[in-house]
Amino acid sequence: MFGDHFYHATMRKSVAVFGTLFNNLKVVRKKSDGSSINQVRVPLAYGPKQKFLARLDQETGRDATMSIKLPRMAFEITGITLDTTQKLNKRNQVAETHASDVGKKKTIKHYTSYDIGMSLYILVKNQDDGLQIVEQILPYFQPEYSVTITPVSGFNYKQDVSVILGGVQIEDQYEGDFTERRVLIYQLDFTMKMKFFGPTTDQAIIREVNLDFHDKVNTTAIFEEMDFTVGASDTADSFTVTETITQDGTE
Amino acid sequence: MPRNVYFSQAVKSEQHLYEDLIIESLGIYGQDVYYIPRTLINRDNVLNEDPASSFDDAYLLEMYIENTEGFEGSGDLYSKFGLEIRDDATFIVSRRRWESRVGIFDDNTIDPRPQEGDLIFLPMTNSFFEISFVEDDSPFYQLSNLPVYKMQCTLFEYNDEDFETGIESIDEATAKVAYQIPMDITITGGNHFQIGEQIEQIISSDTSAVNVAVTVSSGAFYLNTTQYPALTLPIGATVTFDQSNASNSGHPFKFSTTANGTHASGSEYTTGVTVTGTPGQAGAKTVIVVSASTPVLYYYCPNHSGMGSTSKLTSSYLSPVKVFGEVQQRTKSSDILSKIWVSNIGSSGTTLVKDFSVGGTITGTTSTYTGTIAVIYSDLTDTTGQSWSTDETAQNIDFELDADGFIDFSESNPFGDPSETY
Repeated sequence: MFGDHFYHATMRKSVAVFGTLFNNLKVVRKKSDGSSINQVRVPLAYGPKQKFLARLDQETGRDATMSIKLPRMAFEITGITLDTTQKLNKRNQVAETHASDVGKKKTIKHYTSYDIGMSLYILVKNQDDGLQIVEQILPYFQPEYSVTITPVSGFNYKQDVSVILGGVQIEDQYEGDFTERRVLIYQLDFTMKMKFFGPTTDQAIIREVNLDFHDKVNTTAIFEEMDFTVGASDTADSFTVTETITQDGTE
Repeated sequence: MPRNVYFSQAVKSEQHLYEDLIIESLGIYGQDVYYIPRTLINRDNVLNEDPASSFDDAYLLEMYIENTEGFEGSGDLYSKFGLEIRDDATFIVSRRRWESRVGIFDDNTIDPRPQEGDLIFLPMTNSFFEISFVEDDSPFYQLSNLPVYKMQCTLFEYNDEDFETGIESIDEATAKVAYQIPMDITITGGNHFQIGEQIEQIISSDTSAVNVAVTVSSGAFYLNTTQYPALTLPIGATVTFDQSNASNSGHPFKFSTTANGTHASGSEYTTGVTVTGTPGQAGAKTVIVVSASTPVLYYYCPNHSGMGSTSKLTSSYLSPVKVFGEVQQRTKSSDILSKIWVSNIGSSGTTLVKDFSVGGTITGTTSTYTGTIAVIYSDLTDTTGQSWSTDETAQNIDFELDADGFIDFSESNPFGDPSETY
């Protein structure tokens, strides 16, 4: 019913945008005199992964040297909710110049706004590592940080994606008997304001207008013809309108 | 009813025999392991942790692994953070053996014992276990004695701690999992850097020319608008005292090792000093090249006493801003090109975190060899399939490369700079 296949990979782009925001955070460890011992760029990964790929990526087949390497960050999509505060006017559409055919325009007639829930998880061994990471993030979200993207391939149309930080949760299982592992996770909950775009279409442009003025009684008689045309290679930025007016069969 | 006094449960000879038998059994059925004590580097007394712990010693010791059918624990788990191995094991060590091999080197504790947080390296599986709990009374007072420590351990969560135990297998195993940055180095004179040595790249040092504006007011020299300041002159720098301001007229700017100079029976210091022009006129200046042998100097006017007060000009090496790291692996690509993997990267001399940069000169602190960084296989620029930081699961570069196609970077992004190299 809805027509041709289209796929703008909106969710995939959301993941890449979100990952890019947090791919350059560092943790620095210092001695008591303030000089740094080492610095680590915190590894970041999209949480969901095929398990066999996890096995392929990480050494298997023999006993592990370490349990896990920390600190590290992961994120995942937690939900997709309709953004009821935004609605596209039905007569509004995205339209751009066609690259190869001046007689057409590229258009997108439909899009809807959705809130994509994203959660960023920071797994650390020390509070100081986690707090360093969190502190490098929080000041930029007041509570939103906007990233500009070109959401539809082939279109120059730009969209500001607001990434809104909703809150930070800390999970620190430090109590219990000595044999229990301490798990220290910081969870930052974000909302991304994304738009889902419909199919793209090439829409013909009105390049010629013909007006015929007829006799009201003798409808075959034409008093005047007015033809307006633009050149075959004219564009919206560079065009010449040719007017041709014919009266009583004579121009 | 009191205990029968004719039967003693604490006969020393029996206790020693029992302990000897246990040591013998551990020697037969046990495994050779390394006991690795933790060294606290910078304990945070507010957050109650020591993120920068290091492990600098390793002691070979026999221990019995209580688990007979494999490690305990949850085993291999997959979570959003990737693969995590939760193996647990219980090691048993003789008290006497531990105290004679490890405890005697502990100067900080009155009654040393294995500590929670210390590590055990099991060469058989090439695994590091962290002691999570030390049971010191099991079995419970056999012959009124406690001959063993039972240590409940869990596979170590690595947090980029520094391992310098001197045991090759341990240091290598940790180096392989340490965060590393691979880079190509154009070396000088065919001298490749050594594995394990520290390399440094000087980002900046404060030996550039320093200019100080000199003015005179109310019978006193003002340096950079401050009266009688004490200055530190960077060694290696050329410092210019600019006397072109008209207020300097009749007040030459001189140095002496004596406060107030010739007015206090001192003499003028002229080593490395060049005087140009007439004070108070354009181009007038006193220039001094500061070296390591430059003494503490006082400035004065030979025509008027007290213009320089007792303010000192001291010279010292100012801390250069440098990035440093440790060469973990190296391959020789050619006679002039090395590929090295650098870990434990840090920077000094500044509050800002600095990184190695392409084109920078690096120096080996042990070998004193030098080279130039040709390529840094960073997580942000590497498209050659080089693993970044030896972390196979990191997607830092993947997100950025994918998003480059549709993120509009004309609006600044504080988190990721696409032009940055690591």
